[in-house]
Amino acid sequence: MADKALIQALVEAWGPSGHEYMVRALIESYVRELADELRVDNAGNLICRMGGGGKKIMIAAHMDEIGLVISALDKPGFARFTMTGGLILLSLIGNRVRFADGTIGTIGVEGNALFPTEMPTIRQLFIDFSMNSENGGTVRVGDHAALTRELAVRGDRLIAKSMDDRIGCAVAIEAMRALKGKSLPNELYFVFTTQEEVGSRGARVAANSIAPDYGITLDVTATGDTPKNNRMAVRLGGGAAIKVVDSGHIVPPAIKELMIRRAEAAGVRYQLEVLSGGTTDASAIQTALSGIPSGVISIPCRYVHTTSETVDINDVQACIDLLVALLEQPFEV
Amino acid sequence: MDIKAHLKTLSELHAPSGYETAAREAILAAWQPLTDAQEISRMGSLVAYKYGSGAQPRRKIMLCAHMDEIGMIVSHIEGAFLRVSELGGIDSRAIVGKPVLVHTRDGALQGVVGARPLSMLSSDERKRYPRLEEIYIDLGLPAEEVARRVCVGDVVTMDLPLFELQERRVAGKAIDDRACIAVVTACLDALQRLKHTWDVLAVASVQEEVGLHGARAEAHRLNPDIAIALDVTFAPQPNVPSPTFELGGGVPLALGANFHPALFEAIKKTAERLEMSLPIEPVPMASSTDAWAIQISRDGIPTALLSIPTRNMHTTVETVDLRDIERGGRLLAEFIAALDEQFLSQIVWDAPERTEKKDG
Amino acid sequence: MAEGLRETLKKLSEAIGVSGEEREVRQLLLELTKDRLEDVVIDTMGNLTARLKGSQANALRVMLSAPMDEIGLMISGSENFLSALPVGHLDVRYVAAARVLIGAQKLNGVVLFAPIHKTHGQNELPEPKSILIDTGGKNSAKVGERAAFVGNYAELSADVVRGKAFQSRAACAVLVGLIEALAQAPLPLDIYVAFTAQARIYGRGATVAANRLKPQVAFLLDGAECDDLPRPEGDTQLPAVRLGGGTVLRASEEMGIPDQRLLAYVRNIAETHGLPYQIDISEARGTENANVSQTQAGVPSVSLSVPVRYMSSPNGLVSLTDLENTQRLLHAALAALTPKLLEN
Repeated sequence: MADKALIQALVEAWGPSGHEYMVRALIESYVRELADELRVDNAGNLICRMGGGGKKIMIAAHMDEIGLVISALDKPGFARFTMTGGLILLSLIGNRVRFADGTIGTIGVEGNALFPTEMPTIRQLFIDFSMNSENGGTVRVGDHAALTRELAVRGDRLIAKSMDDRIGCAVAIEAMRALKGKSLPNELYFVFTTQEEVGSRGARVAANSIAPDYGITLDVTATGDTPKNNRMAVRLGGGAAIKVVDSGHIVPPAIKELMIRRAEAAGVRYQLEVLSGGTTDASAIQTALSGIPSGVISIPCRYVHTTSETVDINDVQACIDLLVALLEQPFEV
Repeated sequence: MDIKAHLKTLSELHAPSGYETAAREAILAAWQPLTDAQEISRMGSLVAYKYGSGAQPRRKIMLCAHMDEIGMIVSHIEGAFLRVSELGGIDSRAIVGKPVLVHTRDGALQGVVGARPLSMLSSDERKRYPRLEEIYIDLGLPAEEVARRVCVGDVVTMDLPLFELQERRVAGKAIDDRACIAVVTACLDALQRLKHTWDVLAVASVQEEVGLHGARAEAHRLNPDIAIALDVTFAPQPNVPSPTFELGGGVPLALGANFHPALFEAIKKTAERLEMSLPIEPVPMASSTDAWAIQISRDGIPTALLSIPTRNMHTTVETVDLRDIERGGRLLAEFIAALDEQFLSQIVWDAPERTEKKDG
Repeated sequence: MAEGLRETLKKLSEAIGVSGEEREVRQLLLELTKDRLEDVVIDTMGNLTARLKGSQANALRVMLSAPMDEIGLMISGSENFLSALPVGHLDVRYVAAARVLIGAQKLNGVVLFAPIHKTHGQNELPEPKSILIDTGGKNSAKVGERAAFVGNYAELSADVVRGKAFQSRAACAVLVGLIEALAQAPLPLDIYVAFTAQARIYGRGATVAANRLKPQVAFLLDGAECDDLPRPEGDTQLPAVRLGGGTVLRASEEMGIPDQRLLAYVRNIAETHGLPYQIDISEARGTENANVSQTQAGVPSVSLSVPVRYMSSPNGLVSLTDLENTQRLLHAALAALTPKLLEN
């Protein structure tokens, strides 16, 4: 079963969009021995090649997590912020954030926080550094922070911040481990991308420079299996989710069918995903250059973009198995 | 050629964004006899080449009309009923009670877009149109059979035939943008009887309705010297503000930041030469057509946009006048036939020497 | 039987007969049944009434009826586009971008619907007085002409068909089938049939038909709205009327309570013959039952309705099994009918 220690290290690492260096160093420590060639490009993507010849396939998982940035200092010990990526305001109050140097802050709301009656706007929120003298100590305007929370394990369910998309990174690393030493029919580029949460900026650059034949993105997807929420069919524990469509990307039917064939042949549990609201690096890869047909293996995840993103370890394993099954054979689209 | 029969074929086939196979096959069949070579791109767009008579390397003009239509996709199955997400900008206000096809692994199933009857609605719900998440597809089948035959991710299309109106007007689904595919066909047909030196690259693009993806990819791959995109525009009807363009009044040529002014002028001159009425369509910013993606490809591509006036856009009674399609085809063909070696040197903003002086 | 029934239903569904101008569907019904009928009268309302051949004089006088008209539009003006007003209880949701056939010449028209690009967020349903129709040409239709919605008849499965005007025409198909069956084996009753006009305008045709025919008892066929549909989460109410669930017997209507002896009788017949039925207590509006039961000195009457999904839509759904079972139920009810039923 998937390596929980690896997952823990990845989800607890710090790396808001544009500041992925700690995550990149961590991932590099795992993959250095696995890749035939390894480089970091101008956008900060970590690109790992495995194998040579055959079809060029780019596998993308993003390193960055949603975060926030200090926009102004307020009265001593408080600062205002804006978002980098899709923070859910309703879930922020009382949450803690962490800066690169380890400084911790708490998110508060103007007025009586005990009885908030309506949805706050971001202008009503602030960070409280729990200090009584200086403004946030070493924190300055422009400093980035990420939400902080440790991993919790309940049976097969893993709960943590930034499962989106460190769990995709974990799937990629596990697949690299499984493929190491095998003779590969394809030229694989495992790309740990930057700035997905602010518009897939890393993935677009990597696709331009690698110019692959096909793309596969690993990312989380939402589920429809919680109370009064039946808008989509994906559920936790239902297996790897093979994406059909999301709001920014239509998976070419031939790639979807290939994934289904490989999953069925390898006995991997899967479900089909139709997601409205949200997209992945695949939308940027597929629209790069003359178009790079791309598919997505999604890890079902509850409460995406909160500090309690929840996945099922069996789904994670299914995603690893499906990815390995796809990559160890010719990519027959 | 029989434009009405051609448009009927194109309108009635089922090819939503990302699932354009049926359209691609029908258009290939129509364009094959009219062109020298055809290919299908990685993204699924169809490109047909009609080579010019000029010496190599020849200049290339790209004509681009999108072949995808708006549709829906099964997002989950609720007992005997299918819930759907949109594939392109489907208008949930105008589809209740209309017939659909659900395209399953084992062929298409007929159904209808269902909504609860008025007697089951709250007084609030009775005052407004249903939202997409409130409606569903009813196949008239029991839940077990639905579970056996339908998968999440199966696509759904509207299923209505072309409907003939008076005065050579027709109404139907997917007229956006198959009417413009028909314009390209009419152009290719007219070019059989005209001499042209440039290569003509006729593109039936995919995935326009979900972000201009096909045109973006083909513009990058083909890198034409100039491009003309074709799409539908608005005809007069209540609740649609001006500018609108009367059905049968000619094919509007767009003017604005998305288009090269010199190319605009050149097409306008062609219309004047043919004594053809050519309404001007002001588009101050984004055109929301394939032209928007093509213009900024690679080193930039001089781009123009011709439109077919259409009523009731994004419904199953998109209404056009066949005469506009025929006129558009003729205008394009005459413009292409007049393209010569010097043409590109005319597609400039300012005289280059002036720019140099300024820099110096 | 299913093949014949399916074909009859398709013809009936596709025929036009907007309330107040039922000519085409009436002609079709006459053609389908005339060999089995005598004393055919098309009365002043446009009802088609007749006596079943082989009926017994001086026996219990029974009326069997089915409505033949459908919801539609009437042309009310002609400028750039035609304007139109509703005929019948129109569900405006079905008018958006609808296709219609106008007048006896069946001129094609489409109902204008402004593109979402220009009307995004305008979700309020319009008043049904602002319906505009485009025929492509000018002055192509006259004020006062009716426009019928275009349905899209299709067989969705061996049992379920899709089409327009099933609210009336499913009942017509049942009555046509029953007339045929009764002609094969006449019963000791004096049977009159009425295909009624203007059912969708407060059931007024049936009033006149009953006045003229003066039945001692009436069985009224009709359509009933299904509610076996997805409900909002948290709404756990069980459906009362299911597609394929059998004949709907109305226990309550807006303007009155059906004859309880007849209702109990039909229910009993259904149970002894093992025929499915469902009781609907929703207060149906403007039904013919209310009208017929109050004609003359009061006519004991009961409705037997065919379940229809999306009854007022151009594309409703019916189950052929429901039609067959409804015909069987009414046939069985007639076969056992004696004047005694009405004595207590």
